Amino acid sequence: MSAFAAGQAVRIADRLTIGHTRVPSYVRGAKGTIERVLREFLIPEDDAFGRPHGRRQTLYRVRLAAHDLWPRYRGLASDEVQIEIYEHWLEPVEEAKQ
Amino acid sequence: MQELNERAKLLYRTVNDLGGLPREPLNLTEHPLLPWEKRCHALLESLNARGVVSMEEKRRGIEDMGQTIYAALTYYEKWAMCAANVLITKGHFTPDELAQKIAQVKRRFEEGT
Repeated sequence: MSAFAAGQAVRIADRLTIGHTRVPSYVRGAKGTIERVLREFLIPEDDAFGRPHGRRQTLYRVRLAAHDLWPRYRGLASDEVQIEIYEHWLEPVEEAKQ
Repeated sequence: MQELNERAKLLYRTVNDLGGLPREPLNLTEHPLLPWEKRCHALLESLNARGVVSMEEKRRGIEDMGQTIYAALTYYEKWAMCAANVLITKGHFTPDELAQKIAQVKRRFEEGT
């Protein structure tokens, strides 16, 4: 059962890591939305260290606005980055209160 | 990104985590691969398919090289070096066996046979 659904607001965790992950530093701490739920895969943190039967987590495609990632970005306002992130790196975000 | 001191910043990014850093424009022209580079690619794909060296293990090996070696080696030189490291770590051969094999191949190459 996946913790997040398509369209949900999420934040990519901002953690200092030692060892291998598939979460590049430029997206850590960024807020985005779930574009789609993919499926469970072996997580890179175990795969990278010779544990092919290690932990499995749901992988999500996450949309991030290019202007949020790079404040001086000069492309279209609608430009975005889509990146695949595992569940253990995602945190729920409270919907904006008016 | 969180506020980090200079030493913590070194840990925050692995050497191949270049997204968002200022860089020279990318060279987008295609360049033909050398025969040994094609063999290197095929070998690593084959090791991945058979579960001997996974793609993530290879990537982790590249991240562990350190900045000096990462910056100096070419793409497939990095693959070859980290494949050797992973295969040694997993006990498929030992550093001395690899050293002897390299010396043997070097000798053969110099003798032109």
